[in-house]
Amino acid sequence: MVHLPLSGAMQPTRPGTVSPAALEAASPLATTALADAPGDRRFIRAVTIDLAGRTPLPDEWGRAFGRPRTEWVRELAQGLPAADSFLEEELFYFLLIDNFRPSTDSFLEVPRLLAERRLSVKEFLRQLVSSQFFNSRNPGNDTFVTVVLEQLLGFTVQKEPAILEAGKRMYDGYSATFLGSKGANQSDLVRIAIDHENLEPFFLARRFAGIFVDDAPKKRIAADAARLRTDPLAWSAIVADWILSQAYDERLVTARPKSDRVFVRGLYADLHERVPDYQEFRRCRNALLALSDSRPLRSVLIKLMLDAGGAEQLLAAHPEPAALVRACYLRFLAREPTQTESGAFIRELAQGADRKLVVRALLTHGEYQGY
Amino acid sequence: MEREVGSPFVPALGRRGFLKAGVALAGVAALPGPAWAMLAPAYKTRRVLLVLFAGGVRSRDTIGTPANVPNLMRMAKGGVVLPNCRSANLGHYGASLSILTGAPEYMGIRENSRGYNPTVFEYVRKSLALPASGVWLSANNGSQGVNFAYGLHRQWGAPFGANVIDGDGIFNQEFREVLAQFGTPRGDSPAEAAALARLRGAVRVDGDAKALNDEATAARVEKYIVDEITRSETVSMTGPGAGDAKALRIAGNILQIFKPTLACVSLTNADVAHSSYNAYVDVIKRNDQELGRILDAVEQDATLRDSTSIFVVPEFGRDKNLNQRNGLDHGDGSDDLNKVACVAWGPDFKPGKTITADCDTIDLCPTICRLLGVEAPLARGKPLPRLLG
Repeated sequence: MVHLPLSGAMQPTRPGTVSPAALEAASPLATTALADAPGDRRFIRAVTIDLAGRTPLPDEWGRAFGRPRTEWVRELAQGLPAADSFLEEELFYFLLIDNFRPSTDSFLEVPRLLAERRLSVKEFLRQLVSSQFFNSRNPGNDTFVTVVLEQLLGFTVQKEPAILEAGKRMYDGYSATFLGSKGANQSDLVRIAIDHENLEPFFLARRFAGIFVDDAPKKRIAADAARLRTDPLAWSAIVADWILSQAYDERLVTARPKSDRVFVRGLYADLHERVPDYQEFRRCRNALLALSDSRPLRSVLIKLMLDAGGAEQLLAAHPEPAALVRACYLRFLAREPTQTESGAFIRELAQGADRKLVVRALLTHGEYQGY
Repeated sequence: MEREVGSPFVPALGRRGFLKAGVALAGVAALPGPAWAMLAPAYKTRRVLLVLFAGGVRSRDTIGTPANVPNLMRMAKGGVVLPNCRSANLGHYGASLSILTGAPEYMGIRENSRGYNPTVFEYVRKSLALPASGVWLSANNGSQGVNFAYGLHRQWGAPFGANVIDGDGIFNQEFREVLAQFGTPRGDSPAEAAALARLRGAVRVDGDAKALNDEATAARVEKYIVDEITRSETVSMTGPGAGDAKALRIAGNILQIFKPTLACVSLTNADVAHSSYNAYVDVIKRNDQELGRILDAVEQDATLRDSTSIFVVPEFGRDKNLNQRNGLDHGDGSDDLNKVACVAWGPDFKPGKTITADCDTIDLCPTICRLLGVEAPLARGKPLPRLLG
């Protein structure tokens, strides 16, 4: 049995590495066209993972090449794949998953409305916190108010017992002053929370941390929060600006681990050249999340998918060993093989190794587990 | 009960306390790992199972209503009951983590990140130089469960974390169907495995980070997972409280298969009490049944029988009175919420004893460490002297 080793690529970047100046400065590459070259491949893969939550599909690679970075990033940030991923990540953040995942038509439409700029982040959060699903997930006054304060506004509830008690009274239908505003029911409580000044900065700070694995510079977050309050539809432009900064270029120097969610979506994209449907994704994600060390199960999934015909198109399109090895490196690791690597793989194939082993060796390697 | 630090109701160390703790930590850290064991008297206990009977469970619904928990009462009869264990309402996640770290953990109740303090798993693994297969957590905490494996403290952390397995996430019919869609997991032929190893060895390596499990342990874990998915009845356990029941069943299996030094079970389903008192009692009863299976298995296993200690403790209780939905919330500040009963069973505990003195749930971590001959230098709780003798 083979297991996935962790390479240096799996080490998270250290907090405190994002320079505020680098975040303010546009990447010197922002206006250049994306090319089929190692640096740009890595950039395309990382941005697609950060925005769409998966590796690029074959046609998405093709569509990126030749486009100016700025144009491609802004289009991706505003597109449907990014909106799909945004929804899933927000639901996961609030742990509105499985039985608690919103399933009404209005929530199924969220990605499209986000992509069409007809739904703001603030309005989305308002709908989410007002939903029956959020209510079911967070039953009772104590739990509901605590989650609103912690997850939506970033309060440490244990340090704010008076605010919690006021919120609980309001939730229970009594008149109370919560976060400086008066109300008398659960609906008032949600309205007050959504309108609170912490909403935008806390949302942006946690999304920033998801991309940069670091705390956000406070001044920048304050400025972006003000921008989001002025233009509630500016989220995609804000995240695109982050990605088009020098700070993002610097972030790419150190690879970080793929989450189990990214791993599952990426595995389907890389092997089956499609996005998994929700049930496929959910079942694999839940299984991987069930383990503190998911490598043994990742290894099982990779092998099963390959045995069941995964990567067939890629294998069929490259009958020559050298071409196959190069194509696998480009797709799975977003880089060219070194001469040593290529030579070793070609020798193994010449000695009769199954061509699928080329794919499996790369997918079970630590480098594939990071980006 | 006199204590310098450690109560959840004394949440911060003063400067003097901090300095004292720092000096103590420096002294202990200067000792080589095995020497720590010399600090403690020898106990018969060689392995510990800690059951976080969590989700918010009142004592009046467990030891206060023996008919609900005949197996827990069996443990109580053969062990020690501590009915005045103080807990803190830090949310299920934070309160459960507090028991594991021995320090109050102010975590958001939906927070999906690790704490900063080392856990009992890390103390035990590091001090006893155990592989990850020696320390397990069977959890029913969804995606939060894996965060219990280890904290972010630099002197401990991932290299000393527990193997965490959330049975409801992986051992279910749905995932069995996912696997079936691709076929049946198969082993590699020796030639295939060798070729794969050569190919993987040819890929450039940029670093040398350690994985939780080494290759051999990972292979054992993989085999266990595949066996449990394809052959065990755990997959087909369904119904109310099935998540907790699976967690307990898996813990029992892990005890027997891996014989770990430390195993823990983290339960959550009792929180159904928010909307139904009756469903909550059903969960308690089902969990007690599974606890009985574990107890039977331990008593029937020659290796485990005289060397295993079991602790059962909720993370906190629930409100004194029913809410408007005939359920029980947890936020009224009553003793029903803030005091829970801990039951300890094993070769080092006097059968049938009740210790009425106040203690804290965060005392469990240092108590377990003491039993296993290990120190828990950053825990703010204290080993329970009357329990350990």
